[in-house]
Amino acid sequence: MAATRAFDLLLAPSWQASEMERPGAVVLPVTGAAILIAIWGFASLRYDVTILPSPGQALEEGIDLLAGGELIFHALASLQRLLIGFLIGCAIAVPIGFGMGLSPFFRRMMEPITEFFRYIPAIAMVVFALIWFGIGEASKVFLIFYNTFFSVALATEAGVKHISQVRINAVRSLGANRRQVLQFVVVPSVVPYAIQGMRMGMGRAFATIVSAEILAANSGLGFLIFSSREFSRMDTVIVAIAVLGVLGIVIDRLFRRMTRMVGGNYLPSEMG
Amino acid sequence: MHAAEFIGVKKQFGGRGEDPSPPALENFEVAIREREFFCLLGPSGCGKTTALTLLAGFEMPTAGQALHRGQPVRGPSADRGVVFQGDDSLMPWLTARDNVLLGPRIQGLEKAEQGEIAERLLKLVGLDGHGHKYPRELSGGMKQRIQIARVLATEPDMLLMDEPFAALDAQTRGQMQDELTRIWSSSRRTVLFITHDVVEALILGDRVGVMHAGPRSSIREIFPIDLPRPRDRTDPELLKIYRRIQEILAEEVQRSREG
Repeated sequence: MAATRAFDLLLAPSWQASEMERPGAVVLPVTGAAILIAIWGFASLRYDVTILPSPGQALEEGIDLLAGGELIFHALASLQRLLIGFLIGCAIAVPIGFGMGLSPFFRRMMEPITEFFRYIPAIAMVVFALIWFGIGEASKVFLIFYNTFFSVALATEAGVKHISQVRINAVRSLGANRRQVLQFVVVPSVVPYAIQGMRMGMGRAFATIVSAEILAANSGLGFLIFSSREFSRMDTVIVAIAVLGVLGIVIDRLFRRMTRMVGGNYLPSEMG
Repeated sequence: MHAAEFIGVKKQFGGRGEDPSPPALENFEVAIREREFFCLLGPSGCGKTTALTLLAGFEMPTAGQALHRGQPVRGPSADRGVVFQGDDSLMPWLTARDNVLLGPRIQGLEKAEQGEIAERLLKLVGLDGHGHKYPRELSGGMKQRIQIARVLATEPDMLLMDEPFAALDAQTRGQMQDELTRIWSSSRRTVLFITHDVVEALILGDRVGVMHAGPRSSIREIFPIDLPRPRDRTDPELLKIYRRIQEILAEEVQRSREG
């Protein structure tokens, strides 16, 4: 019975899961987090603060960094790069994805490019980015753009390909002209796909920004993590990691909410 | 003038010699009268749906003409509303009410008018109180009712219905047939109704056109059904025609197996 229920949850698309309505909505996650912190706490008793600080020490450092403004400075630096690269990526990827979905000619032309770069992680492009865009903002923005672009373009293309001909026929025989077919069928069909692609792209961008900042930057959470190594400030490292985690959760929640707003009742999984 | 007419229609799919499959329809001719409920009946794969797509304007005939009020059909239009077989023609991101209002919105009707139309049509198809639900929350029968309401919202000259009840269970199907009779009797639009279910054709139609088995299909015989509505499925007169049509269909299926 419990197994069946777990299986149902596995099958239920995450956007349909209204977590808040389920029993144990608060208790279970809090318990999970508490277990992790407890293990960490016990473990820290055995180690020096330069190896593993206690939760309390980390919290103290977090408050210090927050009060000193450093934490906000580095978090904003990372967020700004993420956002700029992400927006440029989306702005270019959505039209190209549409083009690939609509025109087989264009798709065949683009396919070698998308297929080739798909499995080349952004981190492999770091040196390339540094040589071309320098050590400043541009190289990091480029890497985020690189990450976002392929996820969003391919997801948009999939969305366009999955537009149902029956639905197009249906609105045409309700009198829709070309613009109205776009408005009433094409856009609502594609948007949920594009958003899923953006969500994936954002996830990968997170991984990339930290690596890029570790390798070449004077600011950002990745920089904070790596520069703390020199002074053996494990407490700072843990604070930066925690902030990254929280930012990730917040952004993912925003995407989920957006998905629910634009197409909570119509999502890619519907078509397998 | 006829409401719709097929003249010497031939339809072959996969053009330019890439696929030499025989034409689905050949010498397909039938005239549908004004305000008539015409059922097109035939074994599966006989090209009934092909005929409907030609009149809907989704496809063009390879030869011959599909006419609506004497004019060749050039493309889809709100004059000819289509009810599709599958419920996937509903927009899953819209509520039942918004699905019904697609046509009026496309035509740019005022908000106040839209509200009135939605209430009236949801009521007509027996779904008042369900307007806020999404298609995935509705049963198969309810979704087909929404499709019917949606198509009536643009007040089309003609309804083209492509086996709309085929996917429903027998009980719901019977119920929907009775409902459709009631709805049709209140508005009396011309209907072209595609089905492979003999009883369905006899319950609904003013005339039933039985098709040859495909390919190269055409009309084999047309049966007028001069029985008052609502019709009784056990009416002896109806059963007589039923038996005759079953014989024909058996012959056609037999013939297509031998051919």
